[in-house]
Amino acid sequence: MWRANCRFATSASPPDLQGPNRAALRRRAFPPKVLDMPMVTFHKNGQTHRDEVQDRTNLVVRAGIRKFPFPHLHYNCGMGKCASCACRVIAGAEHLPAPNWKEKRQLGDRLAQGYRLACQLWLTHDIELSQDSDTPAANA
Amino acid sequence: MTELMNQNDFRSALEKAIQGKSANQSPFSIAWASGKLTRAHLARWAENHYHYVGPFADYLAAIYMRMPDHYTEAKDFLLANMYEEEIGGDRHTDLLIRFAEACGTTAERVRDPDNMSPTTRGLQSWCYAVAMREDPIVAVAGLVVGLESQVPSIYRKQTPTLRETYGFTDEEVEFFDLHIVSDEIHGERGYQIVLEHATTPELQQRCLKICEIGAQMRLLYTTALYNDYVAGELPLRDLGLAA
Repeated sequence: MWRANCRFATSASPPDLQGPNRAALRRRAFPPKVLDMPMVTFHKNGQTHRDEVQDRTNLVVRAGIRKFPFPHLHYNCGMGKCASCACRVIAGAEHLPAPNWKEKRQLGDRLAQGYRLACQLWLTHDIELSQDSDTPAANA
Repeated sequence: MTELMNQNDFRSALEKAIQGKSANQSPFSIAWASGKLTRAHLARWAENHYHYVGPFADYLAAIYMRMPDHYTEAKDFLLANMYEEEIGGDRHTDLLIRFAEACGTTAERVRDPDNMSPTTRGLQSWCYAVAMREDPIVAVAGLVVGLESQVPSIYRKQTPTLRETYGFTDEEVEFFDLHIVSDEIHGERGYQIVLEHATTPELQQRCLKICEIGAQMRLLYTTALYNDYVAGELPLRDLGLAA
């Protein structure tokens, strides 16, 4: 994913916007385009779901408001207590913070297999995740 | 006459209405974040906070009952918030009591309504009144957007201090950890309901107004906590605030 020091890039200036108000007019005509939205690739039940999300998105929060990856991402408590939202990170793990105390407590040995609790992760980079099938808890 | 805002502009206006009176600005919050409270102060906070957030599912239930039956998703969102507050994982108030006990008070004292301040009683009463009397969309704006959605930003600032400065363990401060995720979900659901269903300029303006009032009520509550329990020992000048 493209990341530069500036968070936004604008389209090229149109030729007819000149003079002291040029910058303001350009902003109005060409609103900034966000280029650093993380791309989430989510595997579940043999299917792949993919979408961009806002920077610092929590996928359980998204599922909780019925946005992607709803209805595919299962979660239950939203507080790191049940591990229903556990996912295996296939790619992008290097951009995640170290597991916190809840993940260590809930996941134990599964951490070494690449599992993380989606409810404890705020995404800032592209990520590819897989959630095991037949999760007993259904989405709240 | 005020025009109907699109959802993006309306959301920005809601956020602005809350931000102006954010409880982060109160002396109690500033003292907390700068590590200047004692465990006794935090115990008084817990004894009050229980009576404000403890009935949150009750507030939501009153709104749920009056939400039009064809607003199915809005009703589902409220029900999900109630479930998660009470039985989705650990009951949120149980975790608050765990923190209170770590501060040196008891579950019995926390549950005793005689231990809340008059201002806390006023905040609780305001929440009940909004839930039972306001248009349900306006009530969601006031209680969920205006109050609950503020919580993640407050606790993100306060929780590291509880561990690093006050010396609490991870388990003792779990109440705060969970609310960073849980209230982000709840607050977002509130925004979805309000953005979707405040479909007239008049209703949008009422939502903005009650968000502003809700943020003022929370600021009032936290300011009173400072005045009632902290001011005698920690004057404003020690917090870098004008007396």
